[in-house]
Amino acid sequence: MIGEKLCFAIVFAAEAMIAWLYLEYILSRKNPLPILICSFGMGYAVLFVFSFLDDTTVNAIMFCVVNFILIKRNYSCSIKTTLLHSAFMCFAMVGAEVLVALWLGIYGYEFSAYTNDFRAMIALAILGKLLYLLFSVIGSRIFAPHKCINEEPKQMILFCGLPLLSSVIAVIIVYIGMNAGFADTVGIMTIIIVVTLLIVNLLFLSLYNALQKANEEYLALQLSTQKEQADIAYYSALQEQFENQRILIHDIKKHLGTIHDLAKQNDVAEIEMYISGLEDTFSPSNQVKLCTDPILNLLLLRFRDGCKAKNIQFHCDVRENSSAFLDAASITTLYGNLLSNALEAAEASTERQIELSVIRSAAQSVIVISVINSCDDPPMPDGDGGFRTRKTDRFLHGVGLRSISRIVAKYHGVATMYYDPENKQFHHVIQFPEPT
Amino acid sequence: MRIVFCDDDPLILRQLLSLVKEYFASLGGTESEYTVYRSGDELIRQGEQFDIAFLDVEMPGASGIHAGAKLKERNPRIKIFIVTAYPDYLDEAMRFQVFRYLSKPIDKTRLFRNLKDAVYAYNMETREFPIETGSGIFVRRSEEIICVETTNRKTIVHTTDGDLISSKNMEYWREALSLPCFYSTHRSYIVNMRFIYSIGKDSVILKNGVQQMEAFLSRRKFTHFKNTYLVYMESTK
Repeated sequence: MIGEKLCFAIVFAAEAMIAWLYLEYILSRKNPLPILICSFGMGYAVLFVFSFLDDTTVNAIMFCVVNFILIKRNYSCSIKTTLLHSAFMCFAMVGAEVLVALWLGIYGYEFSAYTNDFRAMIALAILGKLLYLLFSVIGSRIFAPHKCINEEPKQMILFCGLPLLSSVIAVIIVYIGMNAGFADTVGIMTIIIVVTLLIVNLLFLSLYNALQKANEEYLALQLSTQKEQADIAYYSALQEQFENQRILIHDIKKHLGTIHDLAKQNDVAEIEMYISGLEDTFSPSNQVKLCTDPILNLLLLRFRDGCKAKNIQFHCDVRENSSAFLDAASITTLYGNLLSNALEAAEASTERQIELSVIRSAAQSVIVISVINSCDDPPMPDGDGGFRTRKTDRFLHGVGLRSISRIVAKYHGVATMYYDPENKQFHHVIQFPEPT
Repeated sequence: MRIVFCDDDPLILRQLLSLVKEYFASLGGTESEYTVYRSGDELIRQGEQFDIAFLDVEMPGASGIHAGAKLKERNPRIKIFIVTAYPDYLDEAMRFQVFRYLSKPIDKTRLFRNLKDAVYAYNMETREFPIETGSGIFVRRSEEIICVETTNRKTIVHTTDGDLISSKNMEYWREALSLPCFYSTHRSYIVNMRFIYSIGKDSVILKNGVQQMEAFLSRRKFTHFKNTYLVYMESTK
């Protein structure tokens, strides 16, 4: 009898964990983890106690109420969202149980026929939990599409496929158990297999959630570091500008003093000569201009300086108004990532060359961006039409390329990358339709 | 090929001439003609036509930009290289189609790569194809052929100045149009990528001025075609 109760307690613990995994994926937690564990423990303990009433309606209502309280107390969300998720969890749970009952019905078995056999009950309950897990995984991906935007289709298949496959295995095992009878060894083996399947699923999804959180935190840290570096560069430029201004004011004072002295001597010709000399000195020097777009120009100038410091030859040919259709943020993201990838590869090459060209083809109404960089060793294909990273920091793999793809998609462009082994060069080509 | 050099710096002229000669000698075939001028005025005065030009920006008299614009008027297909010691943005140069910018001192590897692109683009634009029809033979340059289509057992060559019904079949055209600008998107279509306006999952829209036409694209060829097209666009930039 105690053994039975313990088994059911494990089933409730699994339910609590599924609910926790689902909510952690979708919502932002507002309480620390120990408080969360205590809340869920207490909430599901209440549900466990209510289960002794053996009333399905009361159990379903209590399940909804307890989840509502747990969500409201532990996660930051509105009443509407709380209601939505507690209702969804309740439907998913009831749906899973109904599916198990329907499945039994197909074989002409009555669900009540198993209520007296504790082993059969446990096996069927766990099968129900596996289906509940499957529904919650699908639900979490539907309710939080922004979170799974970075998940590859392969990952999505894996997350939904694992509980689905486990449910199929559990169905087969339970079916064998039902036909062989749940007595003795077969019953125990059936329970062990289905419990193991459930545990493996829960562990896998917990691990994935933890890894994803760590990844998000790491990216946030990287972004904050980049922002700090950008701030430092900005203040350095400001400091330099201030210093130049100080020198200019100092020089102007000096020149005014000289003109004042010459004026005292009434030497008009000398004053004229001095002023025309000054005009030459102060004539605005031809500001270096690599393209017509001011933001892209600044980015290219900074990049050119970086290349110079690293002894890399940088050629750029950006034609008139070829980037005018891109907004400022897109220009920075697109060209910044394209050029930083090229720089990284060129730095490790013998030729040390980067060539950027942005051309407008009036005949076809398209803009073609091409970045060519020297690259001694051919990059390894990743099997998805791209190339594997050489970054030592694997966490950042594909982040830049993903940003480029985002901009390409935003402006309805197409892109390709290829390696030219003859000239040992890597090419990244992007084409955008010219906006009408 | 007729190649012209115009620079007031004899050292650069010598270096460029020797490198370009070396490149064309390595290609073999018919020997190219080389002409050298020391000023833009002189180049304009002669009124000759060229296929490739290397022009300095700052020269006595007419600038390289001005001379380049004149050369472009005489031969719109000319490939112009602007040679400059200050490779910063040249507003004027950007307004007419410069093929490439070369910085002084000349980098041999880059020059050879750019020359390869220029010859490739020039050949792609100027190669001529005879089109045999029931009423005679018509000759069209590759840049004038929009696409070849088979429909109702007829092979139609769509050109910029009208359609021609070819007496040759699609297999013949697949072999004849072996230039990189042509791609067989479907068993019934060979398109000139020069005219592509948009690429869909199963069709390609070709545009010639205001006139548009659709060519089928096999779904299994989509990725390969997209990549080939981008590489082609890069080579003609």
